Amino acid sequence: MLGLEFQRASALFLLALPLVLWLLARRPRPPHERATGTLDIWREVLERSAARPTTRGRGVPPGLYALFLGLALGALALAGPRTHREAAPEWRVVLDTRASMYLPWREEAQSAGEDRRIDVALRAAREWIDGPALWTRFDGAHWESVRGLEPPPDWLRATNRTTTAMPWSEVDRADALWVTDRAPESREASWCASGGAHVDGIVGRVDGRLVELRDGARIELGAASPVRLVLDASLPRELRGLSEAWARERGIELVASGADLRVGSGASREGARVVLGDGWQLSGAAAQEPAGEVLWRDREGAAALATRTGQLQLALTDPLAIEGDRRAFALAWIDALESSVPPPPGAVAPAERRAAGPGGRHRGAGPGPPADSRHGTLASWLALAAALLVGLGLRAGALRV
Amino acid sequence: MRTERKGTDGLRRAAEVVFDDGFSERCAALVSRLVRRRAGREGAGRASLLGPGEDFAGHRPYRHGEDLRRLDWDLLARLDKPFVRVERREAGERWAIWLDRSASMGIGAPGKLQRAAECAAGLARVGLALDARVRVVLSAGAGAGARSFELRRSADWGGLLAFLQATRAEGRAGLAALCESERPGSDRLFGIGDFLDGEPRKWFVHHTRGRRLCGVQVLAPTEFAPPLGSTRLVDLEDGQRVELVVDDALLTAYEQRLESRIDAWRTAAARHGAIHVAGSSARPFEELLTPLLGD
Repeated sequence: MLGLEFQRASALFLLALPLVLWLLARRPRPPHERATGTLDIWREVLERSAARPTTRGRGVPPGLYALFLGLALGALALAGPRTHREAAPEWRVVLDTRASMYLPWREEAQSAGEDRRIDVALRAAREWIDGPALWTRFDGAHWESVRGLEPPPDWLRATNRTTTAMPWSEVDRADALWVTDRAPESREASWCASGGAHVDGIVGRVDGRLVELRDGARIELGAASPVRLVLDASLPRELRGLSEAWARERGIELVASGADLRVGSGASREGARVVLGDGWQLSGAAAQEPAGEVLWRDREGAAALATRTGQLQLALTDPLAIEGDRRAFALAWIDALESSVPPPPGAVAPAERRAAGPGGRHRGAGPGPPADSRHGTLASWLALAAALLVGLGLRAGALRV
Repeated sequence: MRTERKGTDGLRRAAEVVFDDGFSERCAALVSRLVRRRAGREGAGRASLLGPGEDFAGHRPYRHGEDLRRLDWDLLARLDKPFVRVERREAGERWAIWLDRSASMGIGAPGKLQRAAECAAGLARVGLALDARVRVVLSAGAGAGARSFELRRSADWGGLLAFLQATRAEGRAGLAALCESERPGSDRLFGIGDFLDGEPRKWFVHHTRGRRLCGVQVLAPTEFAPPLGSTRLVDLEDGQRVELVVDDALLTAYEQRLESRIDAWRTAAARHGAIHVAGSSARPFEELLTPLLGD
């Protein structure tokens, strides 16, 4: 792929001009008739040369081909072609996908289906984004990046929100443009913050009942639908027992499938893994490292326990050994289970629901000029070639025909 | 002056002759230039137009400072006194000017016939200035034979202009036809035309002792340098057509062929002690006549 894009793609219709001229040049038409007194000399010349009198349609003189090519290149140059390398300045647009970004920008707009904070911030950011950008989000564990004119649509859906804090410092760079709700502090990055009012709504479930914030007060609503839990067979026996006890205590329903939360171990791997906790040590056979938000790491720093939406996965399997303070270990495991329980639908943490302030935006240095801009763009080279070819075509006497 | 018009067949022609207001003055200037040159060359050389035709008039005493080449050395030896030879131009010389007015002379901008007629009128004016009797003969037109106009004195020149303006380029008879039908009966014979209708030998058959031949070959600019591209060439005299695409190679071959034709005329003229001048109808008539006047 050439990776070309055009600044003025509408100018490409001018490519039709050389085509039309070429067709006109090839159009058969009666030759120009001219009187002469030297017809017998012409006959002698024709007899001696390979040329013969002709009644065929007009051929296109070679000079005209140079002219046509020059016009075509000129049309391309006018369209402003550029490679991705030339297409700078390209922003790295860092999209904040935490739950607060999907709240209505104004509380009263919630029911009217009006703008969300993410929509308002994006609209402000687009005023600075000219052309494709490197869209970036943090999924709770890794940065994802996609180049394009728009962010991936599923990033704009609340179901894909990030549950962890944004590590802004990792993307505090001149070419970064943060799209968020609360005005952040940056050293080099530019940002657009939507701001936004406080938004009441469901914040979670407590003891099987939904809890909502309304005018700043906590209100307990009716019973929430019970959380359903699946404990995979791969989960070590001792942890299964702990998990079942926690489920009973919390009123969580154990099911075989269709769960809100699935807990298990990854596929077995060779070797052993040891996790050191606060007063306890967990050792066992190694299993596949989990993806998502890392809750525990082993002695080597590899992920040993991680959670992501509706899933809690352990990188150890039987035979498992718990040493040290077993009670402390049990509390740590239950904490992990608690943090993995998905909130009820529509629930957003109270901290996220807080007002995001007036918003605003700040433009830093921004992305720099392209590295090769001093050496001329593709368009300027095309324009030069077009001028040379048109000049050549005219010089070759194309217009005399 | 441009007199080119489109004919009924769509071809552009300059078949007629029109002398503009300044033409008479230009001819007068040509004559006075000739007279000045003659005065400067009195007895010291021969201009082309004044070549043979000077004869011995007598002797006079040598004056200090005169060209010693004019001294009569025999007389000096016999009489021991310096005398110079005095020559005078022979009066009553007869000139014939043959003018091609075939259809092909109606080509060009300005037309070949226009420029040829100007040359003829200019030459006639010079001839009258040299006390020559001048006879201008036009080749036969369509349905008419050759016509002529004779001038004996300067007052006749205006009639010649009217005679020439009444003619037009037509028919197929050119200089070659005049060579066959006419007897010059003159001391000088000028042929003015495109010289495309015959071979040199037909023309130089009229070269005899005591007669000087001068040819003025007038071609249209497009005959010297045809434009490139697709074209249909038409011969106005026989109506034949050739359709061709003129490219650089063909053009070069044509130019070489035309040049060799003109060279053949020049070579034959040199062999007969004659003059042959070839030029474009785009050039002023004074320039075309200059080689005949000895510049």
